[in-house]
Amino acid sequence: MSFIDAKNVSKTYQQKGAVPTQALKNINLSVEEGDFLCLAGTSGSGKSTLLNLLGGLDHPTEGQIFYEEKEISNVPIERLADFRLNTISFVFQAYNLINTLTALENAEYLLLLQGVGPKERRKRASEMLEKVGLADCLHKTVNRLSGGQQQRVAVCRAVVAKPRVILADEPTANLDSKTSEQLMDLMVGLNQEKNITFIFSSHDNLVIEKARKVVHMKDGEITS
Amino acid sequence: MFATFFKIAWRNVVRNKGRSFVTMAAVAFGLTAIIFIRAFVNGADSQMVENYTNLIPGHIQIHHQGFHKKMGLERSITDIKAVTDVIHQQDNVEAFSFRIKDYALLSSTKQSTGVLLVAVDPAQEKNVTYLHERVTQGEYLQDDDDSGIVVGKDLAEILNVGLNKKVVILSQAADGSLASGAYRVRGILDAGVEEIDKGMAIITLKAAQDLLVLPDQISEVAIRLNSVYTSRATAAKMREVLDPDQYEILSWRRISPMTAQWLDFDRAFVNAILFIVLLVVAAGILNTTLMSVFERTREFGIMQALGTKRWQLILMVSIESAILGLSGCLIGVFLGTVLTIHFGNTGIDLAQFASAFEAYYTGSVVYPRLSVEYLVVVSVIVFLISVLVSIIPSWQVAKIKPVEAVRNF
Repeated sequence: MSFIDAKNVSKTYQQKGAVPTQALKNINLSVEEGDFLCLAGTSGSGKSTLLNLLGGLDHPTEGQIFYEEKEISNVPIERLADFRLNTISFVFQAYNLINTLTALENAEYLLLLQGVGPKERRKRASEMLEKVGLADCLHKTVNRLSGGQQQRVAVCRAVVAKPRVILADEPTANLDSKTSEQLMDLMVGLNQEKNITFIFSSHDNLVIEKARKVVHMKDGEITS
Repeated sequence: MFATFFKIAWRNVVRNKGRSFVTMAAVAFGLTAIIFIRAFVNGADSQMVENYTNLIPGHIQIHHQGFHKKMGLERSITDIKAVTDVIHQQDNVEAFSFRIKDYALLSSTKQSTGVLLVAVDPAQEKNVTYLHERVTQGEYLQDDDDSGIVVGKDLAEILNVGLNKKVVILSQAADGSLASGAYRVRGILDAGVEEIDKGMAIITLKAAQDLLVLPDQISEVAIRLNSVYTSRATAAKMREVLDPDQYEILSWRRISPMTAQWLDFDRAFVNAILFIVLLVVAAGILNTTLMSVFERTREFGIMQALGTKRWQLILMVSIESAILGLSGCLIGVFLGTVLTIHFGNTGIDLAQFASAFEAYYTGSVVYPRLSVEYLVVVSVIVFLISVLVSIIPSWQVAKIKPVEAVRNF
């Protein structure tokens, strides 16, 4: 088995009074540790749904998801909190930082949850922020940062926790092309330097080009 | 970890100043109201008890066994020394007074009526009750004035007598003979209580002992303590020493169960009102916390997605509520205490309701009073409620799946 395996995964959304919507149909996907994989496809192709399932934020309607042969798709979501904290990190399209905290405090947040001591936390978070060019912004609250800066803080938050996988849904969608490229370079660098597995989604060709593996999706199915 | 959660909570409090102010104000004004209402009722109740016990009963009464149920000269205390020895053993007794009580017929030249005859040692009695201060015409009895009598104002009207007029007491003496004596009205008292003003006459103890052939005997010892609130315990202590077959020792609550019951009812009623105020405060806090928490559903979803556990989210919201609750409590305690101290000194004039209050021995001016214990207990309760109600909305949000909260992952 691979590092991550999705076997015959389907997901159907059923809202009260509405017609069921099948977002994923019989997905089979294997991801090796250290992969830099892009889920490519248009809006509505099922990329985000698949990332949700791989991240343990939701359960498939059918099929199974394994991390190193351990199934996570049958574990209640609330009991996956520790798994997510120690194995997976997320980078959200809309950054999703905690607005009341500074850049440094946001970057420290996962370390805090992991129980890392305050000195070590501060050191690791500030080093990472400095590395991505945010040395001047450590003590600024995040709503005073630009979109690109906020996304870099989000990447720092994801990386400092030393996850094995980073899941990123359209991480460049809200960024201009120059900032997008800088962010992708940062992710490529981290992938190579720290051997962190990256699974990200995009419909932007410039971003897709950076991936070592590309999985194309359409209408909830993997096409290639 | 707590420090960071505290930091997030604190910044959320500051972030939404308007809502935080409303929540804090709800707690503060609720607590102020609770403190002040309680203080007002405490003041009125204390006044009621003091006024009632000061008027005639005293804090504790000692009688011959059975006297309270059925008054009679045959139930007199003969061994006065034994009783006074026990009284002297109590270190919280301020004063005591010997009395004789009996029913008698009081006649003027024009009218006759049944009265409760109360015989007192005027000097002793002044230290136990304030009845002498209620004499509005003439004067109270002098120590050696064995031919004087003080009557209530309504009784004076019934008998159609004024000061220095002669009245005659008719009763049965302890030896079975007819007791009859003439007395001059020295004073007319206005106690503000019908049963005293209409049905009580006071003569000296010596005069009564002579009239009723009751030498060296009394029917009652009225005791004043340094605090009315120790009367039950002191009565119990004295009961352990004095022979219960021979003596009955009654605290004011047993002397006047009606007054005690009224006080108990009053307290229960006020507690019910305060409970409702507490519910209103809790609903206010719940409402603002609900708004605040549901507004941040997405933020909580993200935190959960990142690995924050449910209990950590609940802790964070609870800290927020604790900050608001504590601030509100501090303001509430301050305002409640200031109001209580201010009106405790100046009093609250309820003259327009005076007649209603006087019926329950409460004066027209109420002086709120409060104990530190109550202040602490009620503040802790309000604080805990403000924290506990916040658990409900935070638990609801924490139950939502992160993917539902985030949706656009």
